[in-house]
Amino acid sequence: MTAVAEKAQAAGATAADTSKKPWALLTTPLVALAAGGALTLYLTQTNLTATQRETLSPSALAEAVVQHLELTLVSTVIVLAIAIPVGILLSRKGARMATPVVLALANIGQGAPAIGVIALLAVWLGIGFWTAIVSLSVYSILPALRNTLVGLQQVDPALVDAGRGIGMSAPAVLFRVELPLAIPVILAGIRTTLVLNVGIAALAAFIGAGGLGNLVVTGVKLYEFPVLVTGSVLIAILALLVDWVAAIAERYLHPKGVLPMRGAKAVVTLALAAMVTACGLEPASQFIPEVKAGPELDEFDSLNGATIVTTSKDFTEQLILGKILTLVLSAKGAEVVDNTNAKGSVNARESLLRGDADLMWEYTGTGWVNYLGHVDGDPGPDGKPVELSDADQVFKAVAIEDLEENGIFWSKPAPFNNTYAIAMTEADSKRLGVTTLDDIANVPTEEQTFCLENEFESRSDGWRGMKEAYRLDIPSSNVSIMDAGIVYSEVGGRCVFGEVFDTDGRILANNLVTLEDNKGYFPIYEPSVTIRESINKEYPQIAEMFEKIGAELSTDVMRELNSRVDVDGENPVKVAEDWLLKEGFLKQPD
Amino acid sequence: MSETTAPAEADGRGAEIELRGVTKRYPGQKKPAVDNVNLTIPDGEIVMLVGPSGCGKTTTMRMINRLIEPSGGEILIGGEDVRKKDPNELRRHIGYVIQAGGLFPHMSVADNVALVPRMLKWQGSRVSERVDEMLSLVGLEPSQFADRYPRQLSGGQQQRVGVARALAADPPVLLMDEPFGAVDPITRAHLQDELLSLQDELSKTIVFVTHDFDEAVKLGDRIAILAQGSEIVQYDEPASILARPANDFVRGFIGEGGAMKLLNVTRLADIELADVVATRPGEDAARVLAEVSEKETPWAVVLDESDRPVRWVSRDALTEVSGDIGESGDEVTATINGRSTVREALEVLLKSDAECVPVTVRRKYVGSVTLATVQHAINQLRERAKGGGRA
Repeated sequence: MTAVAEKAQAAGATAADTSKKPWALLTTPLVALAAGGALTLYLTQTNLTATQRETLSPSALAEAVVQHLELTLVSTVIVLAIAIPVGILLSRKGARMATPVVLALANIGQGAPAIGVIALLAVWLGIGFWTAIVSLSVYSILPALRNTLVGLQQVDPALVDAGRGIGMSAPAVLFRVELPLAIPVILAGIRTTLVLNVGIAALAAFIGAGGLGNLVVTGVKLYEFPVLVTGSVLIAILALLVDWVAAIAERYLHPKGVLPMRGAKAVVTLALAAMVTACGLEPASQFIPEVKAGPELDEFDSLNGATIVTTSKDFTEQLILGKILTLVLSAKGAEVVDNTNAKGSVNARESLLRGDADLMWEYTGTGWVNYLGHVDGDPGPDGKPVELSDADQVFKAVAIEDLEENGIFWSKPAPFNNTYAIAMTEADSKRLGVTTLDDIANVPTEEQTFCLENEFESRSDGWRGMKEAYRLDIPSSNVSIMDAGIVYSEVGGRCVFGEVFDTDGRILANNLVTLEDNKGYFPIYEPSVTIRESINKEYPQIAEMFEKIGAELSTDVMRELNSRVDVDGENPVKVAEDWLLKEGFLKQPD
Repeated sequence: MSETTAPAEADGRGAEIELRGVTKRYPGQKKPAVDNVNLTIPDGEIVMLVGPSGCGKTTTMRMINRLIEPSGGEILIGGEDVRKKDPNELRRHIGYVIQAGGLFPHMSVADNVALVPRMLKWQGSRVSERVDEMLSLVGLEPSQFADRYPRQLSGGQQQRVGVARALAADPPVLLMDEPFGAVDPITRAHLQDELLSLQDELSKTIVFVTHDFDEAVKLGDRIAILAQGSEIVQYDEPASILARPANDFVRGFIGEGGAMKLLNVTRLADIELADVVATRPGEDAARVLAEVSEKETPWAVVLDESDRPVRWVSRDALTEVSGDIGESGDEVTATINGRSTVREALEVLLKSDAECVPVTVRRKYVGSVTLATVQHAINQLRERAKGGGRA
């Protein structure tokens, strides 16, 4: 090549694309580096609990990143293997008719909420890595397919005509003219797919496929801000870097002599990561049926003129309990804002602390261990050690300390204990001779398989503590992490053992038995209505009412109510209303 | 006609194309797009297919290289039926030029030109030699243009590369589909001139589709004027069509100023020029004066030793000179080439105040042109056309 030609080519290139300045490509890694640095600094400056230190250890993070990348790359490869050939086929003359149909199908994949696609496929295919891969592929096939199609369609038909006219065969025109000219658009589609998949892969945590989404989900549910931040920032960094690598690939694969196109920016990614992080932080107010207070509540003063905000966490039992709050308060004349169904423990509790909500049902063990940060044997307010398996001690300790420190009043707890439990099928229990947690150690290692919910796996009073207490040595390959609802159906299938809530209705429905916590490891989780102190002072009858109502909520009652929602598919509001009516706390409006 | 300057070699550097009853029907359309076309395109000629848009002229052309398959009829190139050949192989031996050249933007100029030779499996060294040769042929310096990309060329340059690519494998036949439609008028005129001089050298059989009648007149050895269904309304040499349009459709197509267009296609070399006395500086003035007096024109033109016209001497000037003519008279300010059209001569006459302009061929004096010459030429062209003969 002559110097003149080289110069001409270089001139053409520079004029066309300012981003070809060498420093422009360095921006993204520098931003990623800065974000990584800031994250490291933040983590070193923060007092992390032992659990958090373990969750955020370099090896754990590396594993999550690798899992996340696996999810992203495998799904992207699958998407490309499908989208590019299909895109090519659709761009051929004969297939024009099929194009709208295929695009409509691909649109459905993307139009449906990602979490919905994942959940649907989990129902159909079961949970785990490959379901996540299929979901991601279904979700992100559209950009790659559409860009392949559009990329090929935007090739000037005159060039195809010219190619055929000088004697190139149809495949030669495709491979030597159309595809090279479509490459910038196709690459942009691949880039979008990759970045989209980095973001969506976070949702894979819900069906036990791991990845950085675990950190985000854990962070949200447990109010572990450092974990949440680490997960979100790492996803964002990953997205930035993947986008960057794709940008480099775009540059080097870009056909020479063709003007570069304006690429999508990584801003999309950041927005996406932020979205995943933020989803569910905003609970929605919901429909409340019109009800009147029943005879059992006559003794309490009315709440006319009071405006009260209720909240709850996002699982069945909490929904039912939350609706009980809402129904009873409005029956007694209060103006109720129903902010129940906040995602995870964090958000409901946080809104109570901020004053955005006034009351919620909280579990004594959760308050003492997770919110107030105590471990078994820590001294209580009276200086004596508090044993987590002693319901009375835990309640007294948390009631005093939370009122002092956070201005949260704890009413007398209801008599059921929604603690964690390990469940197995009745058949397995008989076959393996396991009835207590101690017996697990005697089961052959290959049968020591566990399905755990994300929150349990990572909370300090959960999995780690249980393994220590019962001296279990279970390889991590035996453990699958998934959303709580799925565990019940996976026990006896994917896993021999599953972590459940003791009051869950599906224990009965699925013929599961729970193992006896013979060492008293699991903390007591008795539900108490936690109320902001100012509200409690103004309306002391609220706590009194719910102490009376709570007294009727035994473990059996709770299991039954939960079962009506989880097994029979009834609406939590309806279930709560029925029970309150039956017990005489409400009566039908005239 | 332009033919007069072309070497007389219709000797098979091109190939005759014959369309026999060629028809193209599209499913779902009542009328055929091309209906029973019979057309013979002589070896080595440029035949222009002209017609309104949608008349089927492009379809007709694209059936020759089977970009469109005919529904019926036969197409022969050099006596061989195109439908008996593999379409891709067939097209590799037919040059194809479209608007803006149809260059592939992701390939360098050299790669674009080398496409067909490479498909024909020419050896690498032969291909690169050929690329340089072709670029030089269309007036692009290979060392400067070979490695550029189409985007870095002007419209005219791109079109030249398009022609170079079409000619690279030395096909006998060239199909050109409105190739100069996308360039500005000045560049278009240049490209047209270049195509004509290329054709002088190469003598390909060229089928050229255009909707621009003036382009057809300028470039065509013959023009086929097509109506709907590719019906051939008139097929003749440009001057004949201009002088004697077959019907109102053709007349409408020629448009206003048919006579002027006729002047456009008639070259000075082909008409009868004014008989003006030519003389030399060494001639005796009195003798020349006597000669001039016998003619209608009151001047003589003085030629130098290379027969180039240098001065005019009028009768009055000659009377004042005794002995040799020498340096007397006025300098010749304008001459015109014999290849110029009559219309160009008319313009020169009107622009300069000269009543008479000398005509040269290879710089040598061949005669002169005056307004009377032009008028006479028009009359003659009309006469010939009426007689049914070709101009």
